[in-house]
Amino acid sequence: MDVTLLWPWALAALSAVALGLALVGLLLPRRRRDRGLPVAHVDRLTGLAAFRRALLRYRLWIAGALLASIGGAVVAGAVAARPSGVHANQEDDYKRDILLCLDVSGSMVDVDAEILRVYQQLASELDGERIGMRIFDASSVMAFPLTSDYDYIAAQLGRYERALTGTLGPDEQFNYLAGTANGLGASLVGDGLASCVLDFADLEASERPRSVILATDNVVNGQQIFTLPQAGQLAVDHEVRVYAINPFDWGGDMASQELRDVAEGTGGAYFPLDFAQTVPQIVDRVSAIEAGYIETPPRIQVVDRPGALPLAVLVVVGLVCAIAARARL
Amino acid sequence: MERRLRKVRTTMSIHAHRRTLELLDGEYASIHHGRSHDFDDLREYQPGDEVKDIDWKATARSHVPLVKRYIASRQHTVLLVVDSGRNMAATAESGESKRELAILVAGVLGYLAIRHGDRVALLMGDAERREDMPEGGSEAHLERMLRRIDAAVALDGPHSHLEAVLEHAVRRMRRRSLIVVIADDLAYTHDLDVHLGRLHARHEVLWVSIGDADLMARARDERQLVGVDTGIGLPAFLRRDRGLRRAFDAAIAERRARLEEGVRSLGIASVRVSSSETAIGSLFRLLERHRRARR
Repeated sequence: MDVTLLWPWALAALSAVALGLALVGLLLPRRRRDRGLPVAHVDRLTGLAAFRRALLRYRLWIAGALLASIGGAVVAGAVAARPSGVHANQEDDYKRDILLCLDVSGSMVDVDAEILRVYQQLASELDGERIGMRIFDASSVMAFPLTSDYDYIAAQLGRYERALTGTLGPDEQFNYLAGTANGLGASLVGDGLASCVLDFADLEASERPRSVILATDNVVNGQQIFTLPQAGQLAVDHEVRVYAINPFDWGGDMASQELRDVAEGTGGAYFPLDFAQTVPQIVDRVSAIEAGYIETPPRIQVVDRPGALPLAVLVVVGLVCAIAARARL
Repeated sequence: MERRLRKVRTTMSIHAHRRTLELLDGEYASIHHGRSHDFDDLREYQPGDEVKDIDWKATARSHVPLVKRYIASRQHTVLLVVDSGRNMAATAESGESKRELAILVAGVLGYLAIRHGDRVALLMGDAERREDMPEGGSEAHLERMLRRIDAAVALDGPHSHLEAVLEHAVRRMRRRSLIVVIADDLAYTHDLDVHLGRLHARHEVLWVSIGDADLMARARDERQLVGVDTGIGLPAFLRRDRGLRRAFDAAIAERRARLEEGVRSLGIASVRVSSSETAIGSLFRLLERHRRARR
C-alpha cells in the first residue's frame, strides 16, 4: 500500500513554524526580570560543583523538551499533511437478489430437491446476496422471503429438501404442500412466476440485480390469471431476469418453447435438464451469467491513512508534558 | 515618633521573659572593663553579676544576695557597624526581612547601652557608601539611627562590602569602644580576618550574623528565589534536587563553621540570629560569651 501526502505543504509549514518558534525563543533576549523572594549570598549554592552539574542536567532536560516539541510538531505536520492511500470499494448495492421459484407439482419434486441441495451449498459461500424462496402449484406460497441470513436460508432449504425427498425427521414434520392447492387446476406456472416477480419487495428503490430461478415443466393444467408470457412481461417491467430449468424438455414441444421464449425474453436463460447438463452445472452457469451483471467497476476512494502517526504525536506530547512536570519549566 | 524603638522594646518584652531582660541587663553591665568604685546603690543579685560585687554584709542583713552598683566612671561608646548593602534587604532564614532583624539587633543592643548610660554611634556602609552617625545617649538618637538603617538598606541599593566598612572603622575609630558588627552569613575571607583582627586589637568586638534564607526547596516549598546580587532566579528544578541539597547543606555548614571558627580564633564572641523570636536569647548568649571570652 503506497501512501502519499495530500497536502505536503502542511508538513513543511508546521515544521517551519515549529523551528521558527524555537529559534525565536532561543535567540530573543530575555527581557523579563526574575521575580521571587530576594535572597542573599546565592554563591552559597551557585558556587558548588554539584550546582553546575545539576544546571547542566536542567539544561539537558530543557533541550530534550525542546527537541521533543519540535519532533512532535513535525509529526503533527505529517498528520496534517494527510498521508493517504487508494481504496477500492465494492458497493453492496451491486449484490444480487435471487428468488427460487419452484413448481412443486408431483413431476417436479426430484428436480426441486436437487436445486435446493445446490443452493444450500451456495448459501454458505455467499456474501451480501439475498435469497428467497417461493413454491407454487395451483397457488403459490412464500417459503421464506428474501434474506441474507444464510444460516436461516440453509436451514429452510434443508428443511424443504428433506420434505421434498420425504426424509423429514420425526420432530420436524410439516406439509410442504400446504396452501399450494387453492387455485383452479395445477401447476399454474404464469401465476407462480408473477407472484415470484412481485416478491422482490423493494421493486422501485433497490438497484440490486434481481433474478428468479424458475423450475417448472410448464405443463399448465387449469385457469391461470397470468399467462406465462404476461408474467414474463411483468418480469421485464421490473428488470427481473428469469432462469428457467425444465426437466422435461422433449425438444420442440410447445410448452418448452414457450418457457424458453419467456426466459430469454427477460434477459435470462433457459436450461433443459437432460443428459448434457446437471443441476449444479446449470446453477454455475446462472451464476456466471449473473456475474456479468454484477461486475461493476469498484469505486475508487482516496482515504487518509495516518497509521500510527497520531499515536506518535500523543506520545511525544505526553513526553513533553512529563519533562515539563519533571523540570518545572 | 519613637516607632522603631518602640517596636524593638515590644519585641524584647514579647519574646523575652522579664527575667531574661533583667539577665540581659546584668550581662550588659558586666561586659565592660574597668569600672569606677563610686558606690551607687544595692540591688538583688542576678546570675551573671560578678561575684566579687556581692555586698556580703548587706546580704547577711537582708537574707537575699545583694550586689553593689557603682556609678559608671565614664561613658562607654558602643559602635554599631551595619552592612547597608542590598544583601541586608534579602530574606532571612525565618522568612522575615534581614533588615528588620538587623534593626531589631541594633535596637536591642543600643537600648541596653542607653539604659546603662552609654553612648551609641552608628557606622553603615557598602560597596559605594559610608554613612555614620555620631554617638548619642538618648532614645531619640537611637530611634533616628534605626530609621537611617531602615532607609539605607534597599533591594536596589549598592552591593554589600563589609570588609571595606570594617577597614573604614579601623581607620576612623580612635577611641576605645565596644563595636558590634551586624553582618550576615558571609564567607570568612582573608580580608575580613585582617580587618577584624586589627579592629579587635584596639576595641572590643561583638559579631552578629543575621541568618540567610535556605536556598533549597524543602517540604513542598514552591516559592521563587532571586539572588539579590545578580537578579537571576534559581530554577525550582535545581532547588528540589536531592543530591544538590546534600552538597548545599554540607557547604553551608562548612561556611558557617569557618566563619565561627575564624571569629573565635580572633577572640571575638559571635552569634547567629535566625529569627526575631530567638533574637533576644541569641543576644543574651552573645553577651555571655563575650564576658567569658574576656577572662
